[in-house]
Amino acid sequence: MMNKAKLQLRSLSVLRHFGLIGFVLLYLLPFLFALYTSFLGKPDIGKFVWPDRWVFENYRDVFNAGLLNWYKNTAIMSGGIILGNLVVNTMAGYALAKIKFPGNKLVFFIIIGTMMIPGQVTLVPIYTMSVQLGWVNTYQALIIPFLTSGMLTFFMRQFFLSIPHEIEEAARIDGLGRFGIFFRVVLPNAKTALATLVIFAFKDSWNAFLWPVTLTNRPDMHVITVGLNSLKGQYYEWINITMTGVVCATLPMVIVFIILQKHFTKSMAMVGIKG
Amino acid sequence: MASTAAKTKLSLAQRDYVAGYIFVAPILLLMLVWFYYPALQSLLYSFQEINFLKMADARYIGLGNFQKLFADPAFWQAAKNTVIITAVSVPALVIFGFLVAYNIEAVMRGKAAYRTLYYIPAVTSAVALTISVMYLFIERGAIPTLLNRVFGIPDVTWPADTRTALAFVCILVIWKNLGFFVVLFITGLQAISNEIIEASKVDGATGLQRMWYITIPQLRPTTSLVVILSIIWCMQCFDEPYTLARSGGVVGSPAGTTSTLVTFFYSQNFRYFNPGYGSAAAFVIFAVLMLVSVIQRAYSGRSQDHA
Repeated sequence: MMNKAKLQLRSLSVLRHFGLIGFVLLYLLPFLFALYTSFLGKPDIGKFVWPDRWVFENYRDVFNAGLLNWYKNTAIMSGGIILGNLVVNTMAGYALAKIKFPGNKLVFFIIIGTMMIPGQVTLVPIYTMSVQLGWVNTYQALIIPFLTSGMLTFFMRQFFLSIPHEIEEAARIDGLGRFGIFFRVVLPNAKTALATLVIFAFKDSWNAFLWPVTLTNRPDMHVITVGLNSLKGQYYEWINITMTGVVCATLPMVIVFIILQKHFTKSMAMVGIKG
Repeated sequence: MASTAAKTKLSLAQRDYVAGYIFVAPILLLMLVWFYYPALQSLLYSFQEINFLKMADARYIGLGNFQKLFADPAFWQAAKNTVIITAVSVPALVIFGFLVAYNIEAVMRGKAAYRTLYYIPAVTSAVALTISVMYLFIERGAIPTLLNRVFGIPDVTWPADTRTALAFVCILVIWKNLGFFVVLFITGLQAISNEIIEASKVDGATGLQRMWYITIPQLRPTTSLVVILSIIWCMQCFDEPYTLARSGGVVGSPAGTTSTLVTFFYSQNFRYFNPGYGSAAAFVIFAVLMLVSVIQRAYSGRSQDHA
């Protein structure tokens, strides 16, 4: 009786693994397909066979189309945005969670309110502001408007709320002021949340498309998504080259995610997603 | 003596006020300049007739843009497409997201690996995903051939055919967002207390009964978050149809079958240079999203009363 139940449980588990593996293969098929196609010569495209010859020239072609420059632009843009978000959202999230000051609630609503209004509403005015400031085709235009995030501030606030009050009290008795507490006690204890913030800010800025395509129009200012889209236009018949672009655009982000993912899942659970 | 103590106490609290304002000053300044000011400007645009290339000639036309909007078939097509994308993708995301998360949580080994693998599409760009999925759905490609053999669905290039293009956008939206909701459901599942599950086991509930009568009701807060987030994202669908359009082609092609509210808004601004009209459309999106979140608030408020 017991054995039968155990056997049932085990076969159910095997079934689950089969389902999960099968589904994830299907789910990741576009990326596997992109990786495979990126090593094909033109005659082998679309045959779904093991090719006679694996080629690496596609990577050279994408490289020549300006890949390094796209990487550079994206790295500068993402770096600036991540750094800004890290500082600005973390400070605000901390103040909202731990400091009682008059107007605290109002500030909270101003910050959360940005989540309610779709960002596209600000697209044209920000474009006009950039034109007036002479910022079109500059890094400032790609970075400065995107240094804040209502969602990430909210996330940091929730995280700081979960840090016990006693830690700060102890630091205060030791003679630390607000800033000392924040930098020397709170931040070192917030590594998982900060890693999550970095993942989200990195993901959003690395993958941003609508804003860069609007605020820049010179090819030398292309970020990776815009460059990839231009590849698709240029090499419509050359799937292997476009797919190489897909691999180049995707791989860095996936690697960063895999490195940081432990922190990410931990802090997601810690903050406790509630409706 | 007592008064100096009170004094230092007060100044401590006051110093804390100052610290609080210093901490929130950067975000407030940036949000006012780069979010609220442009949003307000956009609201003003929606009551004006403006040519993007000659902004100085703008003039107020009251509700003219909104009247024109509601009489514009292109706007209604975009609205209809957006509703279809939302109506198809949201239930699919909830159901698949839950099923994948439930099975990942139920297996003993490999949880972390599954979680990571399923999240990968969520960290990649919609542009990259759209391009690679697109080539899987080309005429005589792997998937159309298979679907043709099995279900008799015409073997066409899905993104280019007016009959299949919108379905293709739905597939993309689901593909792009599923991983994120799998992770959300997993955190929700982990938050369900073990005692309830154990108690039900003692009571002799089968696996399916447990899932239906315990897990799903307990997951309600997560499910409602998944629903609201997926509605918001579907309503703002842009990258996928934009990438589908061949360079130089109209966004929303073929023949407007993949136009969404945001692509409509985008083309009004940057193709027809008509930001007043475009802004009016953007505020319709805003109004709908507000309505959705108000309904959601009321709904989740009620469910909390019951709990």
